[in-house]
Amino acid sequence: MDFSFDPQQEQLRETIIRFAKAELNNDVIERDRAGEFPHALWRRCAELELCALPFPERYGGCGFDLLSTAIAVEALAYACHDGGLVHALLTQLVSGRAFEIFGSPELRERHLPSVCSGEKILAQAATEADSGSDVFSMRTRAVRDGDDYVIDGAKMFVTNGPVADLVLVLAVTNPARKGFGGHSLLLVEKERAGFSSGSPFEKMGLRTLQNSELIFEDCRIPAGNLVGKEGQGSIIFTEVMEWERIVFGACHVGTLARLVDDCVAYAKQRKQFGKAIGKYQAISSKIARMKMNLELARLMVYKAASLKDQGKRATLEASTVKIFASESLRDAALDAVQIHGAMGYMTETQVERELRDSVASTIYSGTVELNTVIISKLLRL
Amino acid sequence: MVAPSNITSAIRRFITTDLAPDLDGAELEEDASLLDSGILDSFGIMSLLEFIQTEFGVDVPAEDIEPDNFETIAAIAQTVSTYLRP
Repeated sequence: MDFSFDPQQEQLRETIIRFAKAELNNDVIERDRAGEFPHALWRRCAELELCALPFPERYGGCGFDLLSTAIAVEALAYACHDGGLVHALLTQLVSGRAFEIFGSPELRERHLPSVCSGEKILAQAATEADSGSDVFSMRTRAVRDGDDYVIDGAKMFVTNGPVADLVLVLAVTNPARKGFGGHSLLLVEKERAGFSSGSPFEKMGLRTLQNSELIFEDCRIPAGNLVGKEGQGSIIFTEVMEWERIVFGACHVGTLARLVDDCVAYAKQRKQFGKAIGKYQAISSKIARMKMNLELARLMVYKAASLKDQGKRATLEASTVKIFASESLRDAALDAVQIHGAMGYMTETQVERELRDSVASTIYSGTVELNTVIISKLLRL
Repeated sequence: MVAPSNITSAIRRFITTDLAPDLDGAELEEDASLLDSGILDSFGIMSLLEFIQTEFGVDVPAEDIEPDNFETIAAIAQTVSTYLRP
């Protein structure tokens, strides 16, 4: 078992860290305060092919496997302090995977090149006001009508919703089937009549990330926009969630690594009672635990990614990653504020923003509670 | 090579033990729809895929996990057989 990166992975990591440090961290406090999507930085990230990492080269992608993609994502989250921008980019990758794997050749040819280039922004819409963790109790319907589907319903908290050009919508196509077989995934272009977005929600953290309600009123799309087969929606969603939990796990690892570095540096430099605060066990044990969780989370991400690259299912591993990495990040962010003391509570130090951003990580991609249910089910409890 | 009858009985046992414990195994016909009855829901399909991987060493590719291939016990057994290594 070799845990070292190959030369391409090393270069990928170094390139992304260098780019992000140089270009993505100006005015993060102001951006966060304004809560606006950084379109110009999105385009710079796209120029560096950060929207293209896992997609086949024939569509303009980089052709990286999931492990290399995870290494790239970890590097981006390590070096980019704008958690909302990173999250928006990952949503592009995760949503794109759905129609790269399941979409028809026509759909892939038509849309994947502009997804890889970042020209078109992707969103996926599953959650509704009354169906969060119980996602398949949704009410949005897609009814076949000749050569079209007609979609009616509303989706909630859709990431990238207000800025999306393409939305993957999970909808009920067979109400008699409550779970597997009853749902389908459909691609809706923003120009379609009957499609509209609400205003972006104000949020506790990840404030540059845009989330909104999306509304579908008699929204007619061609049947060719069906992704996969009718009734395959829940399994596409499950497959994408596996991928999403691993990719976001890598993102949490990257941010966690930065917090560890920041806390180590601060604990060495900050002196109280005549010595560096890192010499006090109350501080050093917090940082040691952060480091331990970082190492464990990283191994979990790499293992789950490797399983997927071997064509294996990793449902349990992905849920395990999501729980452990998100809780480790949130706990570390809280400890980082404590370690920085009063300065940690101040906006200018930028530690409090990491804490605000981290809270969402235990909620999106399936709450921690839902992921524990998945693990329990897979243990046949 | 696992005999087809063994695949069928293992799947039936899993379903009646884990997914529908209130059901008498003898009552579950091989061609009864597991989807219309709600026995195989979204959690159920995840558990079933995990079982198939553990029991038979089969990873069904995601793009082939479609309702027709998992509609009945017979269809699931056929799907497993397709991917079983000789």
